[in-house]
Amino acid sequence: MSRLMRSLLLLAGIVALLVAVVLSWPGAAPPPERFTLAALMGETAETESFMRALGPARFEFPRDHGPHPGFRNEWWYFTGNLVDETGSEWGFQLTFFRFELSARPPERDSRWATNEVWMAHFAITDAGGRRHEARERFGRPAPGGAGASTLPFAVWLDNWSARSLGEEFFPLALEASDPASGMHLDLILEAGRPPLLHGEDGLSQKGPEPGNASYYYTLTRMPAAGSLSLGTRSARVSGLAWLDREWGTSALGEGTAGWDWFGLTLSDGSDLMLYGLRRSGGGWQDESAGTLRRPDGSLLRLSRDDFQLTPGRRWRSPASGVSWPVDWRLEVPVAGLVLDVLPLLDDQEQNLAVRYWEGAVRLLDADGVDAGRGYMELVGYGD
Amino acid sequence: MSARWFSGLALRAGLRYYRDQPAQLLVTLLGLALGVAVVIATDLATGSAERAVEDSVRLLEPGVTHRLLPAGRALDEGYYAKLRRGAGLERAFPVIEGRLVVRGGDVARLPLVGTDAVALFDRGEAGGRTAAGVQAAFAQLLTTPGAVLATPGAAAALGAAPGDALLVEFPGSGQRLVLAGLLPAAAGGGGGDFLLADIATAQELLRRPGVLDRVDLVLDAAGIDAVTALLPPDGWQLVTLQETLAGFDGLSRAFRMNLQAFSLLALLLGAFLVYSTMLLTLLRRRALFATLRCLGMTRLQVAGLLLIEVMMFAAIAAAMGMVLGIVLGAGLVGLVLRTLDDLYFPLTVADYAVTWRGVLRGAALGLFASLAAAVLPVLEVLREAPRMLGQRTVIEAGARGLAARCGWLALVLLAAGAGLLAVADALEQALPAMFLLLGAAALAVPGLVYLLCLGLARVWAASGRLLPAWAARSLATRLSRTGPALAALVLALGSFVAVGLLIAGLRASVDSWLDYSLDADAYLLVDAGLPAGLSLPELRAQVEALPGAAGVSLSRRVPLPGAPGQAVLLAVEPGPPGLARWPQMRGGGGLPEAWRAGQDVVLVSEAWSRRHEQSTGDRLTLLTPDGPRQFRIEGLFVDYSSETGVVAMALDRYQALFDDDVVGAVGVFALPGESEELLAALESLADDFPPLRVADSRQLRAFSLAIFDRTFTVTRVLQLIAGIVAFMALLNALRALQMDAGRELAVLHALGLDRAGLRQLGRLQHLLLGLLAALLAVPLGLMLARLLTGTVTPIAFGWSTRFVLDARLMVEAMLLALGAALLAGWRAPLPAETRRLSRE
Amino acid sequence: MSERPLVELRGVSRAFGRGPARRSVLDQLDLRLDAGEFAAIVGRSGSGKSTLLHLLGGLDVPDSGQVLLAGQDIARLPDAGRAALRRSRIGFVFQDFNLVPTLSVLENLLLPLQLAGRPLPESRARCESLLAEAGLAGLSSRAPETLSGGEQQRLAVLRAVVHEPELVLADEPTGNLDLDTAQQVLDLLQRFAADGQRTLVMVTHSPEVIGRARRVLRMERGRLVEGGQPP
Repeated sequence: MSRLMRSLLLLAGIVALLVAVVLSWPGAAPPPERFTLAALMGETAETESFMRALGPARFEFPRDHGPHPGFRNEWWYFTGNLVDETGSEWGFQLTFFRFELSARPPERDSRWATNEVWMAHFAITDAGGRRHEARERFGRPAPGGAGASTLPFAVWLDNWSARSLGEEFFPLALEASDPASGMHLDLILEAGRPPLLHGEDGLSQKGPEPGNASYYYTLTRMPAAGSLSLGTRSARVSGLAWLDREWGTSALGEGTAGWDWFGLTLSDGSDLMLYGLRRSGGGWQDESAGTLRRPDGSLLRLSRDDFQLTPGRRWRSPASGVSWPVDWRLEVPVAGLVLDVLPLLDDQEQNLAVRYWEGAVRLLDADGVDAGRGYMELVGYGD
Repeated sequence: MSARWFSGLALRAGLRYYRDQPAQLLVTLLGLALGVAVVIATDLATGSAERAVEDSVRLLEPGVTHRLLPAGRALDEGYYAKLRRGAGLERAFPVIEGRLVVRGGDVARLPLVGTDAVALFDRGEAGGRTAAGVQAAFAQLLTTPGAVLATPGAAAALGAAPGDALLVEFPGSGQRLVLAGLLPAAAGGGGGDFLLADIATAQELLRRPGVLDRVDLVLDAAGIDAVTALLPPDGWQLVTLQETLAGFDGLSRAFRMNLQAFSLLALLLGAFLVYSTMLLTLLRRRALFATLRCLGMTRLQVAGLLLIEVMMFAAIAAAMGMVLGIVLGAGLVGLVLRTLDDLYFPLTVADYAVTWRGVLRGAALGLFASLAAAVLPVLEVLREAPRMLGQRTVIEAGARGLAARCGWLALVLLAAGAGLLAVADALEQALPAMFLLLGAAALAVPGLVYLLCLGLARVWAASGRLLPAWAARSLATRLSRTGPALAALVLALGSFVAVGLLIAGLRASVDSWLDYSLDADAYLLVDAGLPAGLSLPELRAQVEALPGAAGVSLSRRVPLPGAPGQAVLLAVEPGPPGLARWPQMRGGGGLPEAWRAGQDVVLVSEAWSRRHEQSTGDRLTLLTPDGPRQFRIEGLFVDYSSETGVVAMALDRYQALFDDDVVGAVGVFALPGESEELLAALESLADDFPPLRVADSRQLRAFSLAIFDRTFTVTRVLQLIAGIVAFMALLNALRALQMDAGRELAVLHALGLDRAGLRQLGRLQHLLLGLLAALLAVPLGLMLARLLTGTVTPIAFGWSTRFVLDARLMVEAMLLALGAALLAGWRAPLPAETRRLSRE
Repeated sequence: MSERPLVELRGVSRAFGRGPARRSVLDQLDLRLDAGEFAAIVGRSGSGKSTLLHLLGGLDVPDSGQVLLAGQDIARLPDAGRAALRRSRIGFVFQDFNLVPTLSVLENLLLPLQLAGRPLPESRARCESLLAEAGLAGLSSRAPETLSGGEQQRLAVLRAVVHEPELVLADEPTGNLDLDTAQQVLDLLQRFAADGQRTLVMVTHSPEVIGRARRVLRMERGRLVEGGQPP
């Protein structure tokens, strides 16, 4: 190759290099970190000025079904196990969370001014169609589309809502819709068993310090009927619904990695709620607890040593890579209860602001006989 | 035996010819590089600017598809909740916007955008930088009154850092701001500098509780249906984002086309350079090619060699052009954005985004243009049979034929261009028509040159000046050398003149319009609210009581209710008769009687009239809070403030119909000779009521003209570059002339003409060329300018503009042409040429 | 005379110019040349000698008639075909040398070989030895214009034969040279081209050449006539 050619090519090469350098000027700033709801729910926010669950609950219904401003967190947690006309099983979850960011500020001119943020989760499990979808919405009090009222009772976020139809608490209409994913829920709930109080008559300690607690009760076995749709499948369904109510200003104790919660409706007529708070290094926190209500209405308070939760088979989520323990063995020796908890569907993982597994489960007794239905919630895996 | 397709020796042999004339090569490469650079620069600059505009519109979420806009004043926020519940909106951003004057370390006037912080929560990467900023300071934005986020530029303008407390001076003085954090820097876009707050905070800071300016939505088909079904009947509209962006189009689109047209012109000139250089070097290498053909290279092989050579140079020029273009674009984007900034809304010099597409497109265009330019010369050389070896002079038998062919083609283009212009009703058609006409002019140049030179030659020969006659005739006969370069120069000069005249005319028109619209002596700006405790009638009374005050005018500008885009409704109470000059009616005359009588009449601007094809006597419908209402158009007035059009009506009528008693500006008229006094009194009045600001009419006018000048700075810069390239094209062509003429001059030299005489002849030829260029360019420029002002501008914008004859401009053009010609002839390499030639 | 001639022109006519200026240069011309012949063509200036040479070499195409090279009518060939011939079977020498000024002496010699597709490295040695044989040793890297006229023409001769063509055409090769250098060039030509293996056709005015040639043809009124006197 002649020298002229060589030098021309060299020149071209240098110029091309310059161009490449210039073109690779850094563009976008690195994307910011994902906000963790944990920051909102616990550790960082100012907790001094909020109300705390300190004394006994002394619930009054239906008043206490409504919101409790002043406490930092509150939720209305509806779940239910339903069956359609073909016998195919369905499950649903409709949750309304209320967070307060600070003690109420002085009156401001704008109607939008608020210290409340609302979050709602809506999920449907279609065991027959082997599908599960979950959606999340955020909102703020009016005019922002979210809110709750006491009498008559209602809690809503945009077009997801739970409302009393009349002056009484029941019947309760649940409605939720997310057209983009083909999810629709339209149920009427009737009165079931009386409210089930957890902890010390409704005062549920979450950590060792006083005030690190919440007020917690559940409405169980509410007959529910209506329709559910997921994708192309829809059905008229009926079954039993469960409402967990909790409010307080609390944080999880030091060293808690997450929890496993079970809300079970046993076929012998018992209601069982229990949760294990998992320690980071293994084992369970002291505050793990549960409540068993027998068919005759008597209550058994369960503390950590009263039950054993043994995780079994794990299922690995293709979406998140997290390995969830979806099978459990539950033993409550003092009640003579040995149950296998199995999911209706392995994939009931929900990747929302928090990643957790929440889904419909079925129960088998020691002999492998069907022993009831319920919901299970697994939080804190894979982070 | 099959031969090698490519011969390195042959290529080398050809390339080494450039060793003798490195300057020539460099000039060509530079010229082409410059052309490529300009194309790239405008592409990148306008791309960045477009993104900046889009970013500012898509500020809140990149996925926004629609906007909900109010009719008349504002959206009722109570309705918003209903909308959310009923339509199940997942992503909705209620927005309120305004401007604050804030004092931190420094004082700055900044836009404030307020929206639902919760709606931006937890969007992660999908939410864009606004969401990221909000997440980081979420709790504070919601619960701390006066908490805002700022872009880095805004924080810098305020001299504040996160955590600082700031004071609001306007509109609500005394309010406190807390800078809760910074918005992350924009990536490759703009959106400008602004403050972001939760909507509650924004409503409080702007003193507009209960009001929403719009709702940005992300909607799919089902969502659109749901929202539309829930729209209240009083004229709210759902507009797509495209329609909103289209509203910003108008001048910016024209601006963009303006830039692109110039950049293509520059590239064209660069291609001309390639053409003339190729021709020149091919002439010199004739013998080489003939030898190669003799030795057994086929035509195609020789053509291949030449094309490889062109490609090499084009690649180098393109590479140079890419670097140049990127650098140039960085400077240009600032100018472009500043122009858009001045014209529309605040944008800072945004991040300058260098896109592969922009750069490669320019480079590809450059390569393509070079190839295209090289085709003709290569073909010409190949056409010759190798048997010409041994022949001496090359007589251009085809000059006349060439001139004729060009002339016919010119006529065709002229017809096409004129036809297109006649039916054109938009800028996209008018501009190509102009290019066709320019093409016709370019092609007509060789023919005109031919005729002019021959004519001159005859005249001179008749009067006994044989040598000058020879000079002129040789110019004519060597048309293929002189023609293209001259055409390039004429084009560049002509456009230079034309655009210069256009700008001068526009400026004169804008100046006169300003004279009409800014007819008051001073203005009190009250656009964000009156001072507390002072009503409009009270303010008016106070102003009219000032010493030297003759009266006031009032005006209010709002987006036109019921029309998407940037159309404007101007409600006016004109100033005192005898002093007030507004409006400038097309066709003269003053305010129509019907206006004064308080009827439902409007005036429309020329731009509106063109856009909506409505004129005096037609009716248009406006959406009032009580429903649609018809107004009769009483006349057209001149207005350059909005390309989408302005509708003007009487202020009292507006206030009655639209339930809006806000006034934007109070114009204060002074009694003759007392304007200084009045101004001073006005200033002290404004001092008493801090939110009020006084603007001197002269200042405003100067400011507006400054914006105008800035707008056209970009054009001027490009013009300059195009001029430089043309200049180099001429240099090149003249060099070609010299080389080519060498043989002929050698003959003359042998006949006894001395060196000085030879040089003189050379210079004469150059001067002739320069003069011809100027003679052709100036009329061309004048005609173009006439066309631009008389036809294109009305078509494109609906504006009528003045035609101004700027003598200075034309003198500049002539000097440019002659200067180029003289410079090229400075060093006459005649003796060396003759020496070398005599050996052959 | 051999059975089959190397070169044959049959009824070749060629005219130039247009309209009334049209001039017939060759008129029904015939010619037969065998391989290994050395023929000189003489005639008045402007009589068409160069045209004849161009036709022989495929640089030009007749208006009518056939130009046969080893039986193949090269006039029918497209430009590419004739170019191929020039690469392999024909060599040219011109009066004004027509060397490539931007290539060195050696490169000028290598050029035809590269065009013919021969790899350069091997050819280099051969070229160097050729240069030595022609008395041009040591001038390999010089520019042709720095050589004397005689040296340039000798180089041109070498270039014409380096690719071992069957036919060498020379157009007044000694026209620009003085007597002594002309002799050198003719010696060279004779050694490389008129060695009985190659056919050499030379257009010339020089009596020296005529003396050396075995056959002399004269151009008269567009045709060739055997035997000629120097003009």
